Amino acid sequence: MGYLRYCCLLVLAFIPAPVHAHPVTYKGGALIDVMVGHNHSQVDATYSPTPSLGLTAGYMRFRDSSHQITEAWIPRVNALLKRWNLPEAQANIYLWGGAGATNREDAAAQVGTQLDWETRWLYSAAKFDGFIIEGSNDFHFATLRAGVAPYPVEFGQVNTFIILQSDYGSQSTRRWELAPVARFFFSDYLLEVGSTIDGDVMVNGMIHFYL
Amino acid sequence: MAGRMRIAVMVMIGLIASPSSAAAEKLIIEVNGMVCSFCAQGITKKFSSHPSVADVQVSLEKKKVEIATKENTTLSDEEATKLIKDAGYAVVAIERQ
Repeated sequence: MGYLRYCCLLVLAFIPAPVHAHPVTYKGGALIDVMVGHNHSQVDATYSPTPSLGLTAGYMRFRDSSHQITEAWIPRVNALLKRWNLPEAQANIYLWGGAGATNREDAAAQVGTQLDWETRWLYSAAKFDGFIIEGSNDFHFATLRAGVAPYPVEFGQVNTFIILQSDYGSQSTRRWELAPVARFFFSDYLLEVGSTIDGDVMVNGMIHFYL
Repeated sequence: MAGRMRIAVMVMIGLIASPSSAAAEKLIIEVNGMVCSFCAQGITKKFSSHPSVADVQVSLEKKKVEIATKENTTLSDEEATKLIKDAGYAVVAIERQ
């Protein structure tokens, strides 16, 4: 059964998946990403020493189906495995992993992957995050996203994407939930606001810095 | 004596009148993958921190980055390509004006 579970995790990890934003930024760049959701909240502080590597200090908070809260602090390494810089599009494959501890002092590990493809008009992404926690049920979250920009923008203007997101949480909803999400970004700031059909609100904010 | 004086004066006037510095350059860099202004902020950050760069303009529509250098400075194609790569993008061509 355990073997089957990890096979499923592995398969999910390679579903074409999405993002909250890129987990690796430009060389010398840093970012702070705060995501608050009903069943899963996360704060990441990331520094990129190269354009294909990100070093993250991460804090996560999960709520399972019995409403038990688990918190974890997991430093991790994010790698940009492959980037396609095309004339009208960019596509990326990211992989990350790390190990840390929970608020109950249990060991915790995280592994995840993200695939995304976007143009100035269209955005799609798929993301998988798996958390293995000592003495507890594992968590995994999968997200699929597709979005469209309602108007054309140039550099320096406010970008908007209207996104349809679907999430699956293994220890929370245990089903795919749909959520419309509005994404705005301007300069070094990104904000996403969404809600599931059931009314669970999700907010994600990100800031870029150059160190 | 008067001839030498006249030549010396002409040389001094020439030195004062002629620009002693190289003119600023403009580089127009065609870049692939530049579709998101949030992510492309890295381009302005990388170039703005270079001591030779006076101004950076990014156009997602034209897929181009325009760099104006400061007078007396230069930015080689290799340096410009490295800065674009460090920002996560790919250079297609560099034109100088």
